[in-house]
This record gives sequence, C-alpha cells and structure tokens, in this order.
Amino acid sequence: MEQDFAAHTPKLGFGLMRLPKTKDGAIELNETAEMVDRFLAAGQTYFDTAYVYDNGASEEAARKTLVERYPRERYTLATKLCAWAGNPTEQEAKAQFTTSLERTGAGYFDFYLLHALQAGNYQLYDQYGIWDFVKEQQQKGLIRHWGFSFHASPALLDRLLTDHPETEFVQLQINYADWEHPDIAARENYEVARRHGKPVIVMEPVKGGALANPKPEVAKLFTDCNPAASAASWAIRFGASLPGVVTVLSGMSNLAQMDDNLSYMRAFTPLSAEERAVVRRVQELLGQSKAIGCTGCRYCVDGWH
Amino acid sequence: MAARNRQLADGLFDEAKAAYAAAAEAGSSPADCTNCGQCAAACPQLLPVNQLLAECREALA
Repeated sequence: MEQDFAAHTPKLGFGLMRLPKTKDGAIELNETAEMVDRFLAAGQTYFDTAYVYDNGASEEAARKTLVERYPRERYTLATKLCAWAGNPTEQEAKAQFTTSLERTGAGYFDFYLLHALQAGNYQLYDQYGIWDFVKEQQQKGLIRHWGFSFHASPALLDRLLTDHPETEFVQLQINYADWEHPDIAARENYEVARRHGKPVIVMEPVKGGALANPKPEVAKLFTDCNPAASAASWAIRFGASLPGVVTVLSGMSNLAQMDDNLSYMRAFTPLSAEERAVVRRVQELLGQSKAIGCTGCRYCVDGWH
Repeated sequence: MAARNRQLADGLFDEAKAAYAAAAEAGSSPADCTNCGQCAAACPQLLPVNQLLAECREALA
C-alpha cells in the first residue's frame, strides 16, 4: 500500500545540509529565512535536516527560520538519528532524539530517519535498539513517519527491508550519474525499495552540486534540447520523475539555487521521452569520466568519527 | 577532492595545484592524513578517502 504522505508531499524538498554560510562559517540566517519564505510561498513543504548537520546548527537554523516563523501545519520536518558518528553510546544515541526536538522546537517530527545506514554501521542500530526506539516515539505521537537513509548495496537494502517490513520509507542517493554506478547502485537500490513497496525520498540528486556544472559536452546536450533549462533542473527532474518518489531533496545554498529549483518544480512535469533519451546520452558520456565521486558532504570530517 | 577533480575531470592541472595549495594553506592538507581510515568508514559514497588523499598529495603537492 502506497503511503498517504507520498501522495501529498510536493516533489521538491529543501535539504538543510548545505545552507548559506557567513565568512566565519556560521549559517547565514537572513538568507536562509528568505529561502524558506520563497520555498513555502511556492507551495513546497518538506524540510530535511539531521542531528549531525553542521554540528547541530542546521537544526537550530530550522527552528529560527522555519519553526518560529510559520504555523506547524504549514510544513513537514524531517531529521535523523545517527548511531555511529562520534561513536555514541546507546544512551547518547537515543538522546539525540530529545536534543533534536529541543533544537528545532518542532514539537514532533513528520519524518524521522535512522541516518546513513552502511555496511559497517547498520549493526549499531540493532545493537542499540534504535528500530524499536523510533517506533516507541511514534506511538507517543512524536514521530509521524519513520524510515532510514541508506548508502550500501542492494543486497543489504533488501535484507534490512525484509528484517524491518514496518519501515515506512527509505531515503536513497539517486541521480542519473550514479544510476548504474557499481558502488552507489542507485537503480538497483531504487528497484529493491519499490519491490518492497516503500516510497522513496531522493537525496544527492545533483551529486553535491557536481551535476549543476557539467563538463561542456554534457552541458551542450542539455542546452541543445532545452536552452532555458539549467543543468540542475535535469538532475532534479530525473529523480522526481521516478514512480514512487515522494520528494527530491535539494541542498540549496543560496537564493539563486532556490529560485532556479522553484521555477521548474512549482509545476513539476516528468521528463519526456525525448528528455530521457538526452539523459541516457549524458550517462554514456559520464561513464567515461575519471572524476572522484565526492559530493562534499564532509561526513569524513567535521567530527563524524 | 575538489582540487583533484579539477585535474581529473576538467583537465585543469594548474588550477588543481592552486586549489590544493589554497586548501593546504587553509589547514586542510592531505599531508596531515595519518591513514587511520576513519574517513573512509564514514564516507557515504564508499570512497577510499585515505587512499585518494595520498594520490591527491602525490599529484598536486
């Protein structure tokens, strides 16, 4: 059964991991607030943060620019519990939930995720009883829907969804560049989620911004097809066009990115057959790329270990 | 990584070296890597980060 929220969530989500920064590295709240205003005014609703983003500053920015400025029913807010970053104890990991509630002031979370499950860390979520913990918070009314974000093999995803069939949704890295990537396995993971009947939230649709500035031969393919469309629009519409996708998270960093995204996602139309053919040609070109697939998420630094 | 991609993806070696130097000056030098591997364990892109940092240093330092 397709979840009700999947049908009612607008297709563009505001990812709060790459918010605008001041020169000293703090989140620039005035610009963020303006981005929030434009996002909501365009009819979008989904905001995505995490306990670990910017060492908590992202959740606090959500409170200051969103929660304290808008009625609770105007938006949905997602955040995440990370059982492995910083090597927390079970108690510390579970305490992230309370801290997130305090930081955001949201009262409850519309979506709550077990964060970044990978081959080397998913065991901690079992060991600490996090699966049951989030269900307990849901029963208390503090979580509306819960799922997990995932970065590993289709086999592990299949196993997790088999072991935890009550999972309501999954968040996957999906973009056209990683669609057939041997490690990211975007297509295969998407297909596993669909086989299990799980709605999918798309993350890294623009691959950390890399797909917003493609090499000239790729950019030419896009502009030859549609001179007015940005490269980022192709990437975000690719994810949003897939059946079963709830929303596509874009980690927007400035007003220009927000305006560009809203220009085509306000009245979203899936990729046409002609556009899908262009994307396939782009995928062939990117298959020859030697670039390192770093998205600049900074999980490898910033106190994640 | 961004500096290395200027070389690998864009073929801009001089720009890559300049970006590497700027990052190193700002305190983000691959030369500081102790090869502990914790970065690779945290990478959601499943990249061998420590190995890539060593290659970056070799190519651009």
